Amino acid sequence: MNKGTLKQILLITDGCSNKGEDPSVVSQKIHKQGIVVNVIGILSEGEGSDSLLEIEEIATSGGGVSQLVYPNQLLKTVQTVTKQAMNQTLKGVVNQELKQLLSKDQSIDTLPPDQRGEVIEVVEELAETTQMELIVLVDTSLSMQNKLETVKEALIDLSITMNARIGKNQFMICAFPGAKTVTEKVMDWKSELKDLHAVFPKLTSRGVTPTGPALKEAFYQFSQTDLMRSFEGETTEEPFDFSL
Amino acid sequence: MKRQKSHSISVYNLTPGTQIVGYWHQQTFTIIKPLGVGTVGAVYLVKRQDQALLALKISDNSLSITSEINVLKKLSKVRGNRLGPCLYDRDDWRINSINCYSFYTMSYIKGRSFNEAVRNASVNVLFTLISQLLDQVEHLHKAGFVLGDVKVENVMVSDDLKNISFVDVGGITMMGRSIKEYTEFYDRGYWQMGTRYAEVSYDLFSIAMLALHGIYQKPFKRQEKPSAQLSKKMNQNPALKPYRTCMEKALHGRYTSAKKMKEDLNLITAPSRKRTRSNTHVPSIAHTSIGELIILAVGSVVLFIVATFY
Ligand SMILES: Nc1ncnc2c1ncn2[C@@H]1O[C@H](COP(=O)(O)OP(=O)(O)O)[C@@H](O)[C@H]1O
Ligand SMILES: [Mg+2]
Repeated sequence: MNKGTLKQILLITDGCSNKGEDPSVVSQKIHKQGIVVNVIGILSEGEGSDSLLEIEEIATSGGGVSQLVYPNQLLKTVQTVTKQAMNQTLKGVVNQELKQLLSKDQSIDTLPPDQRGEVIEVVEELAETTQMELIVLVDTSLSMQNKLETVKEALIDLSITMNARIGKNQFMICAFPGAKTVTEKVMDWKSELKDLHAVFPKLTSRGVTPTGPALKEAFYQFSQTDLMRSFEGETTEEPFDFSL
Repeated sequence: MKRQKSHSISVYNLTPGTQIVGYWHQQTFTIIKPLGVGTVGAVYLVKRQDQALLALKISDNSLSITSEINVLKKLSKVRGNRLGPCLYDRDDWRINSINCYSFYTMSYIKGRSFNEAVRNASVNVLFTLISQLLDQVEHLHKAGFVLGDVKVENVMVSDDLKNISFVDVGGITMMGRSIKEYTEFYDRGYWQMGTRYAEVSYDLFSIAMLALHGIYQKPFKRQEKPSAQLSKKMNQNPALKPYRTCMEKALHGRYTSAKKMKEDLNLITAPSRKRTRSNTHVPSIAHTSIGELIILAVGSVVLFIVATFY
């Protein structure tokens, strides 16, 4: 199997998009390029969990995982979501290989328990050793003001989890909406998330949340870093096209 | 995460009498009562068709269940291992074409969770149990694994306070890898006191935190200076005084083996026959200090307020 790099975008937001393309459509296109989109929605106290329906949609079409949390649960959630999405992607890749090896309607879950155990061991081995490129896309609109400190802590914690693995990691942080552009790169590719104190300096006023365009720009950050190829099974032949 | 999705049937609240039939081996398991629910799955006391009483763990996360089965299989090959339950059956419960849940059965461990068990016990008894746990963990370490997810819910103590067992193998990780599962309060990464590499010192940190949890009976949140905060916690309870050095050593990763920590503890819990006998007034955990409880209560209220206005 082709050992590649796992690529993920982690979107952290507290509101719905209201400008530009539909984020779910963008997310689906990104996924077609072998990149997974995960979404964490931060709830405000007293806010019901049905208030951010869009979040699940973005993650589902992005092949990723979504979770709605209150700020105090963010620490654990950021790393759970990331790891879960990793396992899910790798399980998908292994499943793909199995179908080729066995038959079209075989999957990990239809294997007898003992064989399944062996396959899961392979998935875990991959999760431990593959390289990972993660772009964290943080909503820094005014409503996020009180939450950014927690976001920083959670990102530092994520780096502790990811860097305990054997595989190497690269992280980038982008904020949106930016002062002049849709997104602003606030931390370029780095192997660790630390010293984040000065990372989110400016908060932009409430009103616009261009989630779709921001996702698109985050995607282009990957394309610029042609470090490694994506997983074979994940990419499609069709050329990438964002025109709607 | 997945649990929030509504299924036609939830494996987290199966009622007594429900029959689970394994798809691959056609064994029937009848639910007697629930034993507990954790972060991964639900565990039930069941009667197998041959009348054997077993604990059955089931979940909608087949990846985690399968991974735990793998660990249990590996543990069964470790000689002299007394840690954790034995694996019996592994199968899938296919309710219909859509709903399929993986499960396994293991030996049923009678007892209470660590916290409940030590609530009214002396600090001495608590550390005698910890020492026993360390003894088992030493075997595990020698076999190349760490426990990972140490916490009060995963440690069971027999009613006579003589035996301690570890029930949840979900966190057991091969040395040199990244810890598979952890719980913040017991995790040195959370306390900014180390990595999440699977190594001996990772477990010893969480075992020290398990002791602290047993003593204060509830977890506390991380504050500005985590390391200093833990030292303070150690000084707050006078009953902890003899154990302070040992605990600090474990928290700061200065033990190279569980055995060494156990030996240090044993020197304190059972120094010699004579001293134990004269030691009639062992302070009980529940009666340590009312002031302490008040501080804790006020502290958590403040924390709650802070969290609300965050
Ligand atoms: N073998 C067992 N015997 C008795 N009780 C058990 C056994 N295994 C688990 N339990 C009970 O069920 C609870 C949940 O099981 P656990 O394996 O910890 O699930 P999770 O992995 O979801 O945390 C435990 O906290 C314990 O109280
Ligand atoms: Mg558990």
